[in-house]
Amino acid sequence: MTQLLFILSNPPGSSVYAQEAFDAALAGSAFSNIAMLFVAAGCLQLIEPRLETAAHQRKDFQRGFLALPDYDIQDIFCCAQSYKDHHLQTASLVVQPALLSQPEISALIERADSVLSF
Amino acid sequence: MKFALSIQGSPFTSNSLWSALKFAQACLNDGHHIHRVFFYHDAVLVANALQAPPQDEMHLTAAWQDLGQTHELDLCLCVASCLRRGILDDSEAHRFEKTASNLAPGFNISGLGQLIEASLVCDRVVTFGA
Repeated sequence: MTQLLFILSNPPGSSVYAQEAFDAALAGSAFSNIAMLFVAAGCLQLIEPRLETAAHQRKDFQRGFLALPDYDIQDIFCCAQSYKDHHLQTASLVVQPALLSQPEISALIERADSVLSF
Repeated sequence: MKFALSIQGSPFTSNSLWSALKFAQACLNDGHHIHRVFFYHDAVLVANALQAPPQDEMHLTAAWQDLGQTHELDLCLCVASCLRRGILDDSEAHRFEKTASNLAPGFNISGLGQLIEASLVCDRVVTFGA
C-alpha cells in the first residue's frame, strides 16, 4: 500500500498550522497508509495540553492523537535530537513516539512514496 | 514529470506564494505537468477577490489567475482553511448566511482529499511552507 509520510515541524499554540496539519494527516489516513514524523518545534505537539482550553485561544487538538489507532495510524515518529533539545519526557506526552536518529529519518523519507511537510 | 504543489504561506508575511509561482512557471516552461496546486493554511488568502493593492505592487492573486488560465491549472483551496479565514464562494456564503462571497475567479474550493489524491498520483509533491 502507498505510504504517505507527514512531517510536522510547527509548534502547537502559536498558530493554527499544527492543528490544520493534523487535519491533513487524518484525511490522508482515509486514502493511504500514513506515518507521522515530528521534527524541530513540531515535537512540542506531543506534549499533553495542561492549560484549560478557556485560558488560551487554540483548540487542544493534541488530545486527538489518542484516537490515532482508530485511524489505523500506528507509525508515530519523532526526531531523537529534537526530542532531546526540547527536553521532552515520556510522562508528559499524549502519545509516545518512536525516536529516530538522523540516518533513520533519511531512510524513512527514502521509503515513503510521498512526503508532505507542514 | 507530474508535479503537485502544496502552498502554505501567507501572501503578505511569507515568500511562499511567490516562490511557488516562479517554480510553477519554470516547471511548465520545461514541459512538465502540474496536476494540481493546493492552497492550504494562510495561502488561501491569495484567493480573496476583495484585495486592492497599490498599482505599483505585485498582485499575486492576478499572477496566479493568469498562470492558471493560461495553463488550465487546477487551483484548489482547502475548504476548512478558507472558512476559518473568510474566503467564501457563493455556495458557502449561502450556507453560512453571509452577506457576500469573495472567492476570486479561477480558484476553486475543495477538500483535503484533493491534496492527498495529488500526492498519490504525482511523481513529486513540492511544499512551499509557511
